[in-house]
Amino acid sequence: MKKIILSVLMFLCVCVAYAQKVTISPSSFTAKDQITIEVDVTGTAVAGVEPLYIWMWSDGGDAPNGSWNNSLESQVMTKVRTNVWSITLVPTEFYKRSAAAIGEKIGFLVKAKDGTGDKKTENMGSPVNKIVEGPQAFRVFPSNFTENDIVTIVYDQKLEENKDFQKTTEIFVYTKADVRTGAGSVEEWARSFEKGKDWGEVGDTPKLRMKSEGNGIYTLTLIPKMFYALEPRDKIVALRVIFRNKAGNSQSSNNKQNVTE
Amino acid sequence: MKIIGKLFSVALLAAAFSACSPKEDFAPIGENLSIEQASISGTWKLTRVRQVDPIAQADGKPNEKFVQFYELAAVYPDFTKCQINFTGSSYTVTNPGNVPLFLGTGGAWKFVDTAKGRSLDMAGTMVDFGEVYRVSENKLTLVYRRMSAKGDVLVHYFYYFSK
Repeated sequence: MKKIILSVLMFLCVCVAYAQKVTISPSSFTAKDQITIEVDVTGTAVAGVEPLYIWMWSDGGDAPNGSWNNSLESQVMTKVRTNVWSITLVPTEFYKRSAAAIGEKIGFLVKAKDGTGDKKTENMGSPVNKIVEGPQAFRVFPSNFTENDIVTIVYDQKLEENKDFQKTTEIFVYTKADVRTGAGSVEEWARSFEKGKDWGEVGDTPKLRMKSEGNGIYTLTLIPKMFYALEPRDKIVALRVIFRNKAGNSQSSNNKQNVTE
Repeated sequence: MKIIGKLFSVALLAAAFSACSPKEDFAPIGENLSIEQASISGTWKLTRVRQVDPIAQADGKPNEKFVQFYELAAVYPDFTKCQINFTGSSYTVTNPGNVPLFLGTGGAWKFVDTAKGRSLDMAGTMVDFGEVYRVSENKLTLVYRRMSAKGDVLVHYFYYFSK
């Protein structure tokens, strides 16, 4: 009995040690979200090796990793500090697969460019939240775009969960952009449609009023880089959208759409 | 009887000679389907702009507006006021409504030939040909493909022109 308890305790210790090697932020994500994987390789076969590369796989197949003895440069990680390496990616873009193909978990390890001789860490991994399938009240066309593209925010009022807001016939958009600033940090809900204007001005701003396309569909078309009041070195990384009435006393939930850089 | 036989032989030979004579005229093959200087020279009026989501297409999403495609003249009617004029090695853009046209603002142009086919360099903006027409059809379709920093194609913009 003692042996069993000891074995369980040792296993738990190993799990804790293992868990401390890698952090993924955000910890909960879908295959279409941007994530940052940070790995501490201290005590592994690649401690002190530079540069290091990530090697990734999923239920639907491997990412384009290159070959085991010659990782592709697209998989190179960024050195955070001695023996700590990170990489920021969007799984669907990184794997070049759809969210459905990636499935519900990703796996990865960190290796030298030439992994011959087991120059690698142990396998690591993370669950991936399933993307809710089926029509959503909020979507954006096209599904992937840059800040320079023509983007149409589409709202299907029939699918609105707030029953009170379903009755609204004049719909406005409250929207802000998440940006990567010139200093490199990401600021959420950072840039509004016009500098200094916020929730109170939405109902009096014609360019924020959505166009009715019929059948409960409303749209607003914009070019992110021109629409939001950006600072000179800003890069837009996501759009934040709330649908509301003119008075601003009835609204939808918060919505977010990533912008490809 | 021999005379009848000889006459029959002569008639048969005459018929054979007649059959071999190269009298048939074929209709002209017609104009080539190709992309040459003449295919783009001149002044072109923009008639239609279609935005296409290639990722939604690849994922098998419904072929519907705001899912796979959107006709952008519905929201930017001034697209139909745009014109492009191609001369020998340069082009100019007329865009009175200042609509978002991703075909450069004018300058030098040249053909670029790769393994994927012939493309157009419009003052540094790379554009593909959406379809191949005969010169006499007076049609031109250009495609601008927006790519991510990693080189993935995210959006197609189809520009349909006529003379």
